Amino acid sequence: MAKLVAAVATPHGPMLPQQVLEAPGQLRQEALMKQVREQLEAAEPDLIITVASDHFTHFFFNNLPQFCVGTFEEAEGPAESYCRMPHRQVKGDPALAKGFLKYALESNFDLAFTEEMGRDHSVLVPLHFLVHDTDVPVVPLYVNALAPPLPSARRAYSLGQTLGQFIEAWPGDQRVALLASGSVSLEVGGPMVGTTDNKWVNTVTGLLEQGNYASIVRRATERRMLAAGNVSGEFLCWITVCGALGAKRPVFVEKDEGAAFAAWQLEK
Amino acid sequence: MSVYGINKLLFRAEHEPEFLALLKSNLEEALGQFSLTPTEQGTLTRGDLKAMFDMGVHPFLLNHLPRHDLFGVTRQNYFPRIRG
Repeated sequence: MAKLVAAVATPHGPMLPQQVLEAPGQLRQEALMKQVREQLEAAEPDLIITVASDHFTHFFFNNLPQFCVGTFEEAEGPAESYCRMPHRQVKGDPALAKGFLKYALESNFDLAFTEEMGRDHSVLVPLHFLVHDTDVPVVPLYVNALAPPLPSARRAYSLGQTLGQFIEAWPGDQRVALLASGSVSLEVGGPMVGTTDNKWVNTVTGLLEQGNYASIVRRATERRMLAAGNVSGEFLCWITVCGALGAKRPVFVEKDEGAAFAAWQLEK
Repeated sequence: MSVYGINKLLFRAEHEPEFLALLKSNLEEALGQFSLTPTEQGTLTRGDLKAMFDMGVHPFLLNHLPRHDLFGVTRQNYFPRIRG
């Protein structure tokens, strides 16, 4: 059976790779990404399941899934003009991705799927920093965070529980790590740009440290998240990953403005 | 229509280099592909971010305007314009 060995969570600023290139060793987020990478590498995963939101890179209002799994074979990205980073080849795992799709459908989750990878910076930027080995296959799970109405935190958490159960049931021997991608408090392109809801960031990071995922789910209403910035619904991706963790607490949680970084070691 | 039309135009400007080129070389032809009212067209071509935001155009998509030097919107004037 496959094994869930670790989970990590980071932001995915599309400018971060270029910013780090221009000022190496100076940015706090570079150091935090390195800390997270070390945690991930220590768990020796051989497959990564990302949980991230699309930024109208792959999906648009003409077809906007709340939850979608990528069953692609291989891709290259990122796709966006504004995300400057070395392009990377990404290998998928169609067998496992389709396995999860089937398991989700049988578990009352009407998951959408895409046979092309959504090559969004929300997936590519964390991979750039955290997964240096491009041979490690990636199965992306997309959670709608940008196009309200958003899925509920309860539902996102439940999807994570289903994902955790699937991994244990999957008849492969993969060592799986989950990678949640997204900000806690962030506004992009709207009038609140440049503001951070520190109260919300402190609330959620405090609850994460305690492993109090039920409280996070209760508090993370769409209204509360979006009050912290128009893309703060990305935190739903973290909540999905939390669903797979049981009661396990993180080994570390750090914050930087509206962003947070966390890691969990899960191997029993 | 339509907020959807403006959103779609912005989406295509980011994803389709040929469409972006058309927006810059032949605006009338590019706009003709969408059913925008004269008012909607005006807010777009004036780069009136606040009006578009208030109409319901998605701010993430509005953010593509300064990225591609469209309609006079720049990184410097973006925030004054979106706040009105």
